[in-house]
Amino acid sequence: MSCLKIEELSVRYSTSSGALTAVDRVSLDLCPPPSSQALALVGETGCGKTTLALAVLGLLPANAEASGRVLYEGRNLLDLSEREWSRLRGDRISAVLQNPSLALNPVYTIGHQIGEVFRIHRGDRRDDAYQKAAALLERMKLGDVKRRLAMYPHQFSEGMNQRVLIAAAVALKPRILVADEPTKGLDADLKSAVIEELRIAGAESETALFLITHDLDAAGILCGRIAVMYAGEIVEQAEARAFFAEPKHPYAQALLDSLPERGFLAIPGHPPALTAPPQGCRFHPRCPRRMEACRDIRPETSTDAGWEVRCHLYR
Amino acid sequence: MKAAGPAFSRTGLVLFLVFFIAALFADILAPFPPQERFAPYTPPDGTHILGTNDLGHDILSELIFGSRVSLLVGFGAALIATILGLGIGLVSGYFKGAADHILMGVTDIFLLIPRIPLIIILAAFLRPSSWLIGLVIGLLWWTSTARIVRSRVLQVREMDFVLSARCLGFSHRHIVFSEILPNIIHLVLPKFMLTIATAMIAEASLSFLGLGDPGMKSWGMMLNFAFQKGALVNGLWWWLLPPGLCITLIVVAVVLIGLSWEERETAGIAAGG
Repeated sequence: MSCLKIEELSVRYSTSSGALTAVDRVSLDLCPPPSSQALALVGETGCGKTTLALAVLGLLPANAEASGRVLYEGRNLLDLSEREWSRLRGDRISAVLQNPSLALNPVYTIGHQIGEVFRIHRGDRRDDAYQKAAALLERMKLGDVKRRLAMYPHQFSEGMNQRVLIAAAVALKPRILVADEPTKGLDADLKSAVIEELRIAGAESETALFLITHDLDAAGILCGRIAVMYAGEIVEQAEARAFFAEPKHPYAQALLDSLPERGFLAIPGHPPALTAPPQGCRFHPRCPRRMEACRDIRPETSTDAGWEVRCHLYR
Repeated sequence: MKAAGPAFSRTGLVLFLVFFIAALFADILAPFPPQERFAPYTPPDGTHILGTNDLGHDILSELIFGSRVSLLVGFGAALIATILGLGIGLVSGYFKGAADHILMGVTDIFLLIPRIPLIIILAAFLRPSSWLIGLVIGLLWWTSTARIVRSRVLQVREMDFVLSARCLGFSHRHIVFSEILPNIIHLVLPKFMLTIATAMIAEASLSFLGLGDPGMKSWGMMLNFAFQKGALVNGLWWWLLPPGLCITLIVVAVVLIGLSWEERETAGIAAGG
């Protein structure tokens, strides 16, 4: 029920230096528990992860053009009007963005900002909204709740602000929670605190987490499924445990080998510019196992028991 | 500079309060009703602290009642100008695109209008009234506020908390008025004070030129009468000096407050990095 289905989604930006395809024919499914697990989208910076997130949230900038379908409860989200979107966003589909300290309005107290969600979406009165915000923060274990609610974002640490943002995002028990790099720039302790927060939030409110990250640890802990993105394409999608044990796509293998505990090996070369992606397989210029076919023919996705790979090695 | 800031703003505030109280309680504070007649051309003495004019009106009383006109026109015009400038700047900066092009085009046109000559023409053709002058000043002096607001909104709209508010499903109206406006209002307040000063000077100049409201005797109007009746030639300094001084002082007061706010603002930006 109420799954999010992304079908053949492409996003093209028209920039002054030409058109650029940041997301190229991506298909993904995301269902809330218990029918499915959280999904992590991993990949290097600049591979189109954030654009995909913005497309799912209906927040693409004006120079972007999306094609394909994003289906939710029988509707294509790409066709929604701004008014329909503002009813959906924050309520059914919510998001946590990177840079927590900048993502809160500096002129309002924490209590006001969490309460705002209840006031706008549920029409609650100021006092009621404040009470609900207090109850929500209570669960986040931020200490003296009354005092915390009256504080401003600049008086909070980065990690505390991140938890406030998560609280505001899951306040109305959304079906889908998009988290874009929620652990970016946090130290190890805070990272695990935020991961724990997201895990609890997901479990309590039956929210399907769509985690967008280049943090493979977080992805492994939080998500049952992993999708690997490279240069705008999904190159591999698999069940998390099996994926970490034995990744199939050469890029996914290289990505895991770059982790400190797996050898700290850098991937040679650079990700391609999305204005002019390579012919054939997009990873072939950096691939250690490239073949003749990789140069010219774009590999199709092959599926084997829910394990999807886009590579000529697995046909 | 830092030490001067508070002193400036305090001086301005005290001066402003004096005029404000005078305008508010004119009926109680004025020693005589403004229309009551005494012996004309009386120099200052015990009964008439600032003397009387050609019709025998008490000048101190006229002065106190005149402060109402100045403050009303100043505030009214600045309020209109600020609301207009704020609205146009917010819409233009937030929505960008076509709305921005059109609104900034209109702003450019308004910037090109020679303002004082236009008011003179309007005042000459329409029946002169303080309300009209206030309204016209308000409708002409919003351009710089709109420009300042727009440029700041262009910055603020790109900040993460705006995107975050969009993620939480807040409407454009809510974001513009409840998320962005509180973050730029501090820029507008000093501008508001400076617009008050401009409007008061414009009103005084027009009244001095004889284009003011004969029904509401403002300080500029008092100066106009004094000039016409030869106060300068006949050395009737108590008739000329007070309204001139009052105009100067209230403008200085408002400017001092506005500048100190502006200074505090820039200091805050500098300190905040």
